[in-house]
Amino acid sequence: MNSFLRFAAVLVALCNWYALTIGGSPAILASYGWADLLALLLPTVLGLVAAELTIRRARKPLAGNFLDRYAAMAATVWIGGMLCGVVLAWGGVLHDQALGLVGTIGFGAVASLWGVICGGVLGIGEGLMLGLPLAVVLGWFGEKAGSVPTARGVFERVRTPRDG
Amino acid sequence: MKYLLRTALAGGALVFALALASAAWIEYSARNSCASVGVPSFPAQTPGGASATLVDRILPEYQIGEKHSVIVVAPSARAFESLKEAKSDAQPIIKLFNLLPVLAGKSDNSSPSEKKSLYEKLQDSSGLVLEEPNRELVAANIATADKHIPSTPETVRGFVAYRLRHNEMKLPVSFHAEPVESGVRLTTETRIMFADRKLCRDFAWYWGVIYPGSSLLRVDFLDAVKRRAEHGMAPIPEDQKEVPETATDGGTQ
Repeated sequence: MNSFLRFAAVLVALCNWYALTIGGSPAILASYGWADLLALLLPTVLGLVAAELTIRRARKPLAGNFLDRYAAMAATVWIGGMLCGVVLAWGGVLHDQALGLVGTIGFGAVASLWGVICGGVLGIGEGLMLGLPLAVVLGWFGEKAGSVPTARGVFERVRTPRDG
Repeated sequence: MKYLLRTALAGGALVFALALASAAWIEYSARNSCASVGVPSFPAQTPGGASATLVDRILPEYQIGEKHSVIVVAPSARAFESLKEAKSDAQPIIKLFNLLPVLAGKSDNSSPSEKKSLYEKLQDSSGLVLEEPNRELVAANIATADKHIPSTPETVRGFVAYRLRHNEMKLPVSFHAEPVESGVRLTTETRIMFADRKLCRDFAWYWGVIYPGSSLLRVDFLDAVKRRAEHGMAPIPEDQKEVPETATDGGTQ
């Protein structure tokens, strides 16, 4: 289940990164060198951070009923959107040679604000849509891992002899 | 559901804290930048005594500005050729900015193919255009914060000597190619000079708020020029294969 969450978060982050930087012109991808491809590590890491936050902070909802799983997945995509928004917005600030260290930090705050707002709006929009299929798939994983639905609708793992 | 609500609360608190920090920074930055309004200036000089660049010649001192550059691994002529062809919204992320006029109810009806390159747009919309082939382009205007449209002097001397009136500002945008070991450093710079401290403070607030978007736009535009020059193989016109030693800024001085 955790691996699926990490995989889904990284996939969503990479797809968004692709849409925002390459978009409808895959020819741009052909002009990418190794250094540019290394930039793909950024959305991967941000996706993993969002997934780890959810795994650590929302263990119960992830194993809960559909609505809980849906909310947790929507929140994960939302957090990922905010993180990616901040990093994208910092891109321009970091490249400005007219700013000193103080200016970079100062305008970094403004960039972060825009990143959180714009990334957050896109993230919650995507999260509310993608949360539905992701919550369904997450439910299948819960079942396949040996969980059974309880009377409260919560999946609980069945202890097997191999568990000791 | 609790997790989603906690995320919303944390996001809200973060936005609030960042809004406070941003407002404090923009106010500080506006005060700092606009302190030099009306202070006598000295022209920028290179060690040899000549003016460094065209933009240094027409506006050596300014209150607000931004400067971005990129190393293009290609000859200067090819970099400039790419610059002339690149459209300002070539990158997908920049296309998102095109949604703003649509959201504001002012949609642009022209089709993408009809849109001019940024280079052409700057040349068409600027009162003073200076160009050193394959080296530098400066497009300068006298802009205002109100509805009246001042006429921009069409000579360097006229632009430098122009005394700004109430609500007016000098605003040059430049592209400059400087040879480096691996190719050329292509730099874009925008400078804004005010004669009115209140206008400077107001504009600094506006600039501070839009700065991240403006900055991102420039970085992505330079990136598009770099890609076009390095991989798109823009042809070098026969008459531009060698960089001329002398400036051809229209002999306006």
